[in-house]
Amino acid sequence: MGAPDFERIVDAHYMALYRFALSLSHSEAAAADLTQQTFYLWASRGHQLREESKVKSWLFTTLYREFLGMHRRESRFPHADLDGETAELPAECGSVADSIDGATVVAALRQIDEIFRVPLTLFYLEQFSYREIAAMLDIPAGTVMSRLSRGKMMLRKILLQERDAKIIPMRRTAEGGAR
Amino acid sequence: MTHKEAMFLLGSCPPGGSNELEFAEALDLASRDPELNAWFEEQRRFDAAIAARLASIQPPAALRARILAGGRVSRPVHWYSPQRLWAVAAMVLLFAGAGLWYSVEGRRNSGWNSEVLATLGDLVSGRENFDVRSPDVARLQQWLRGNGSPSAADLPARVRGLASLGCKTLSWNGHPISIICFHGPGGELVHLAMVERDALASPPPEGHPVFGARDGWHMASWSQGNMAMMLVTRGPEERLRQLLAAGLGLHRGPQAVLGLLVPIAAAQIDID
Repeated sequence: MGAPDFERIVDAHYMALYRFALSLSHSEAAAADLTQQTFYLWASRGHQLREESKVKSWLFTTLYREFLGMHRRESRFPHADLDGETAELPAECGSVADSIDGATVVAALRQIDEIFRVPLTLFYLEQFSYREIAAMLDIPAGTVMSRLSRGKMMLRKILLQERDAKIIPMRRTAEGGAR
Repeated sequence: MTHKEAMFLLGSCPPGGSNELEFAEALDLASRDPELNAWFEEQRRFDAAIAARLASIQPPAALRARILAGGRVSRPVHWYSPQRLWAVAAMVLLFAGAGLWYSVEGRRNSGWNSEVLATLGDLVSGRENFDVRSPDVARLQQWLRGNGSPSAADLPARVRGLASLGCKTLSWNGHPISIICFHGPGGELVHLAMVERDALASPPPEGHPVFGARDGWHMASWSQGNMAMMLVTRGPEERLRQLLAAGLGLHRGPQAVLGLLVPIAAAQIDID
């Protein structure tokens, strides 16, 4: 692959890859490092991939594998307890998402266990289908659906808790001032 | 499909929509169930908001330049050697001969297969809708015949026993094609496509199905009287074999295709 092709592929994917790396790792520097490493692997091995349509999947899969190689955690169990995978959620969840920024979303994602966080981030970042995510992570499609469902529940709960944590001190301050 | 099952499926539907056929039934249910529809709309709003927030994150300013600079010094590792190239060339010639034989046969009929699969994808993504919805396949067959679209008088016995979702008509090279969608026995969707047998240069064999797979679909094709038929599913091929195990239906001759001169109706009709 020539330099212009490499540059074109970098331009097409480096932002989304960095965001994915940011959700996986715990610092901007580590995310940038993972993103660079992924493209260096592409530069050295990616020319073997002839189908351009598979470039994106290759990059995300490679980045994830690089992350696992460096940062695999021993714990494989979720931190949050959930009553059900498709439990009803309060209608305010949508408005919660409207009032937050990207950094808050990434911070919330980082609180979610890796097995849920990875498919969830792929789902949101590049709108990969559950079948594509299953192929990239080498897990059954039904497992991806289940993890997406539970991952969303966790994300919503965390975002709601974040919002409530901000609102309650403000209320207390307002009440204290009124006395 | 229950309310909970639909929620589980729709939770995996990407914010920008999906071509996956598995969502068709759940989307159909949502369109008829206000509570489920409200839940799904809220899901989509949440998903879209999260996707937008993530997309707003900007990488460090120097990252692109660092990647490009590092890429220039990451030289490709060449795997090939003259011996390997000769071996690959020999393999290519071997497979090219076999592939050519298959492609000549396959290409003649691939057009209508492709058209059917593309339409099924459009139905799922919402770009297309059923012409008619009904859980009663007999009513769908009656509607197809009345509109000049292919409709076999006798469906495979086990297919006939399935609850239908709806039907869709399309035109391929001037030939009408009918598709009836069913709830499959394993929870997946099953689709029966029908086209006039004479429309195909090389119709599938009479009386016994030929099985194949393409792009994640499993298909079984056969001819029945004046009709070429194809049963399609995203489920396992075994499901098709089970559905066709009790027979393909009776051959009743040319009268199986009715009213082919009547233009295809495109109106949305609900006969329930």
